[in-house]
Amino acid sequence: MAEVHIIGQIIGAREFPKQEVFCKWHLQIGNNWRVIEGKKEGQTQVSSSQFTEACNWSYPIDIHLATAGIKGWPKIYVEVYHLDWLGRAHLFGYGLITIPTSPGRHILNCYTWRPTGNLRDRVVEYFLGGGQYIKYPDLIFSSEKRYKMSTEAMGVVIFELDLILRNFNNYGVEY
Amino acid sequence: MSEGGTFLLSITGQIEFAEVMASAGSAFHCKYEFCSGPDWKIIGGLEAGITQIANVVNNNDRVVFNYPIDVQFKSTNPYGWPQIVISMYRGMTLEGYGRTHLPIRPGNHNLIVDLAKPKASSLLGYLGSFFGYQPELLQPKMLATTAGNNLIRMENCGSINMNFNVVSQGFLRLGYDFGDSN
Repeated sequence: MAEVHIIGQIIGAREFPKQEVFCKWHLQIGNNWRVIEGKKEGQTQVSSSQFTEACNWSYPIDIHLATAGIKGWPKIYVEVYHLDWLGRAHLFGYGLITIPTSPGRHILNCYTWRPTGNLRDRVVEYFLGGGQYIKYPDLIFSSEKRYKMSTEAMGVVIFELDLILRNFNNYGVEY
Repeated sequence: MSEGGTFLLSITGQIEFAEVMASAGSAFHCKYEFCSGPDWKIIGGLEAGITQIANVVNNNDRVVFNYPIDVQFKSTNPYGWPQIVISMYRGMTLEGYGRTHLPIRPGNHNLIVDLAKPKASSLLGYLGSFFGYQPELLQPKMLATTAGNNLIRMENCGSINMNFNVVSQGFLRLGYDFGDSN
């Protein structure tokens, strides 16, 4: 079995309209893949900043994977939420990044989006907060059903990941 | 999980300086500790340490620690790669926590670690924060293990610069590939 180590951090969020954001992440892998050690999902702390617009999480990621094939190369799926002053969490963005297939250090920008509602939804959101979210999150991974959605751009989640690969050469896999 | 064979990791470097809102008359110090996975063992150097007290003479001075770190690890598995957890204090009150993984590839690395401090979670604590109360984490290592991370709110405040030299031994022999060292 070839092995992959993903070691790094979620640095933080940029360009979101508000502070006090947190992020839920989840590792998405194919059937051939197995998590040997490490957490495959998690949630960061709520982060804010007084002097800059950047919210940093410095959230560590450390995953050890084994695979019998390169199909279903891991992806990280994130949901960014905003925690408002009443303690309510509102969706601020969905995003997906593919883990690079080359070893070494990578800085990855995850550009996030969220669904937009109609005019009425927007008026409600303006006064009451909240917003639209997806009922079935598998829509985020599927490339077939996306066409039914209308979305808007949100901020960027920045990842810094170090990849270590092992034994891929033994199976004749070039990367 | 790796069959047979260990590898060694040597870290030498400094905690160079902190970039924070430093007002004249304040004094800073740092604690650091390493947090690594189950297969890792420190075979030389200190697992934790505390720097000198760096005084700020002029407003916005750079808070220089130039604190040397020299530590050697042994492991059989990259999982649980060591992390450094830093707690910085202004006088006796907390200024911020920071954490980062130690660099993986051999060579010289400049690291910038973002600092963050927890916010009070209760109304009493919130009111107290107007009078200088600053909550602290009982175990700053929780930032590295991510246990209970989702329960806290933190505020960013500055950063710490560090410089590390990494030397590994026996890592490639075990079949690992950590990419080009550029």
